[in-house]
Amino acid sequence: MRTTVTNILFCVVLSLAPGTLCAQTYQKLSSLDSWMDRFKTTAAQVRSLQAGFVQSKYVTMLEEKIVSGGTFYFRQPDQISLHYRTPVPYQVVIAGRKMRVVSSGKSESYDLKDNTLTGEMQATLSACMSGNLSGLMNRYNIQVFSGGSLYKIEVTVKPGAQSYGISSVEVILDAKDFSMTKMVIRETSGDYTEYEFSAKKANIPLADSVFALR
Amino acid sequence: MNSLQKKPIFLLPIRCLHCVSLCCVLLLAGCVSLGPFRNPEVRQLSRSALYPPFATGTLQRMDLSVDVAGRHFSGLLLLKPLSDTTFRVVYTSYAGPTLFDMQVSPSGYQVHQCMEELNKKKILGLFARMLSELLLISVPDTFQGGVYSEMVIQGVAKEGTGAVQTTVGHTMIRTGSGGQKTYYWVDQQQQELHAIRIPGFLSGWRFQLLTSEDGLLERVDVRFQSLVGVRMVLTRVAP
Repeated sequence: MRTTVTNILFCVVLSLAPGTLCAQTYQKLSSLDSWMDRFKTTAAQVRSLQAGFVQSKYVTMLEEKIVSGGTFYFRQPDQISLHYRTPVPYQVVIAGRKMRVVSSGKSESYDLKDNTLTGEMQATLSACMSGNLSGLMNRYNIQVFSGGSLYKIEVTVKPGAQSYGISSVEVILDAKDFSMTKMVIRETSGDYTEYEFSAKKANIPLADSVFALR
Repeated sequence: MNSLQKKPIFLLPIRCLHCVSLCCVLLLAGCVSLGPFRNPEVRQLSRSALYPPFATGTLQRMDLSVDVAGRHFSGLLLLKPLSDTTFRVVYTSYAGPTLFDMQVSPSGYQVHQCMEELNKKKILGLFARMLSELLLISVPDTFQGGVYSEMVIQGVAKEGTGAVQTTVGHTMIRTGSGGQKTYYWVDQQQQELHAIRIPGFLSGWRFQLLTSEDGLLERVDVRFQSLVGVRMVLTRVAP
């Protein structure tokens, strides 16, 4: 009898554990000023970052999840490079308002002024990497939440502002060093993309070729 | 002294005319590849005789690369059959955002979502037409088709690469009539569709399909007669 009860309790604990881990509870920070100063100061210390990433795109209508992954690179102030290895080799480099995409061995350059959705994604990502959220406040509402060892930044399009197909961006930061552990971009259609970062290495030398725009 | 100065100057227009004629003949030779096929046997056929390549009932993932005016872009194309002739098609960037989400059916196409930059009737119409032809959406369940069997398709063998080069023993099926004809090259033994040709000087399309040994569609090469420099290539992506 005692063994049965123990087994049931064990099963209950096991079944609750993943939920407890996933459903992190967050509390909204009432005052952002001091938190944003701390974020900016800490993030500024990370001059470069290399991390592995797994990208999961959820296509709601098809109930389909597309998983891809590779290596993420960042260098201050606004250089971002995503090197996809799976499912197909693909590379996206964004520096300032320029973007280069390498697919099927062909390289194409774009001006982000002409590509509004990607431009908004780059602005949001750069702001969250550099700790400078003030530039986003014109077009977005920003809320910050605290939960255990994590912070969550919720960036939502202000009512009346052009959405460019994005309804919100959610960024999870490690409270210890303010480094990004997860980002979720939600589209107005209901589709969303999750980027999970791991094996983060800060301030390591990164070759210029990683961010080359040509 | 160069070669032009060897001949009297009044012969120059005639030489140019010869060059133009030669170009026209070469152009026509490239366009007209159905020469060997005369007097097809007219039969009542079903759509399944064309071996629709995406009729498996499951979601298919293809890389779709597009080359247009010297620019190149690619993304992941998800094709979900909702019925034999209705498909939900989502084209998504590898970096995340959905480029377009549309439904193609015999009655046309319906856009559910589209990135602002692509949301132009001509662009979406081109994608929808390409998908409609490739997915055999415009082919009725049963139709009167012209069947050309067991012939050597020399004309097509000259034009392309890949699947269509193996042309001996294939069957060519013609659907439609008048100006709306479409030609399908099928391999009866392998039960595979190998090529689609929609003739037309300005509105012609050509699809070449390559199937792997295990019967999976590996690659589709799409060319447009009127849009020189526009090319679409679909390549199967492992789930």
